[in-house]
Amino acid sequence: MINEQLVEAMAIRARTSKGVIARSFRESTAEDMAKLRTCAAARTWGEVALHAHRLRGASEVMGATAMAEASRMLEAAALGADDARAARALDMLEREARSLDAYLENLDAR
Amino acid sequence: MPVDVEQSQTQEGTGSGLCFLVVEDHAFQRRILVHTLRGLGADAVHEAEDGRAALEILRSAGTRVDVVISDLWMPGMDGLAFVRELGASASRVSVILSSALDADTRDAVAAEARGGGVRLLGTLDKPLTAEKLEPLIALHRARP
Repeated sequence: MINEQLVEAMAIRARTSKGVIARSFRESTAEDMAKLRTCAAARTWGEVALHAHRLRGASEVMGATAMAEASRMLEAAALGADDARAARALDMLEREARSLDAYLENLDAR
Repeated sequence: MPVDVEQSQTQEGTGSGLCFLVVEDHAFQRRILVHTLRGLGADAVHEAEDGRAALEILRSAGTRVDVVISDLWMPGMDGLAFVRELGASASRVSVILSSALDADTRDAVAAEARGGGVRLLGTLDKPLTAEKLEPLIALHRARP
């Protein structure tokens, strides 16, 4: 789900812990997803593209490739103002976000 | 408005003795970059959510900034508008541009920045890591 080796190395270099990084990512992802749902419901595609882009960047920091790819798909659909494609991409992103959150919660508890 | 400033204890590293300004709208990404720069031994790391807040920091008396690391796509003043303002102000600060946007976009902004007189160290694809940043920070040190 994430690149644990990458996050561990990042934590060491940044003099923090993997758990702190995981918690911070979970919180910011929850905020990003809430904004995405609101903007998608309002069909404000420029905002959807921006928030999907931000989520993609954050996911790449964690090496969360599936999440980054789902974000990229939503970003592309939003830039094209493609309702159907955006709805499919948001569904996929919701599934990835739920799986990743459960994984990170478990990681944090280890 | 400016977010805050992280002061580091003096440590040996690529960033030792240097003051950075991180311009990034996404709080998680900004926090990770601040931690990374502190890990590289930065003397201080200032933070801004967009270009306008970054300009406020750069213009405030008594705030030292050696290297700015700026995202491109941000709400408010984006990275392109920020480097245009920076070039117009004849600032001598060094700049690193970073983005998850495609290489063509990064290159186009870099060309405009250089053309505008910005002291651009280079552009980096996200995610930013210490390993990506270190050569560009070294380049800043090598400049007169």
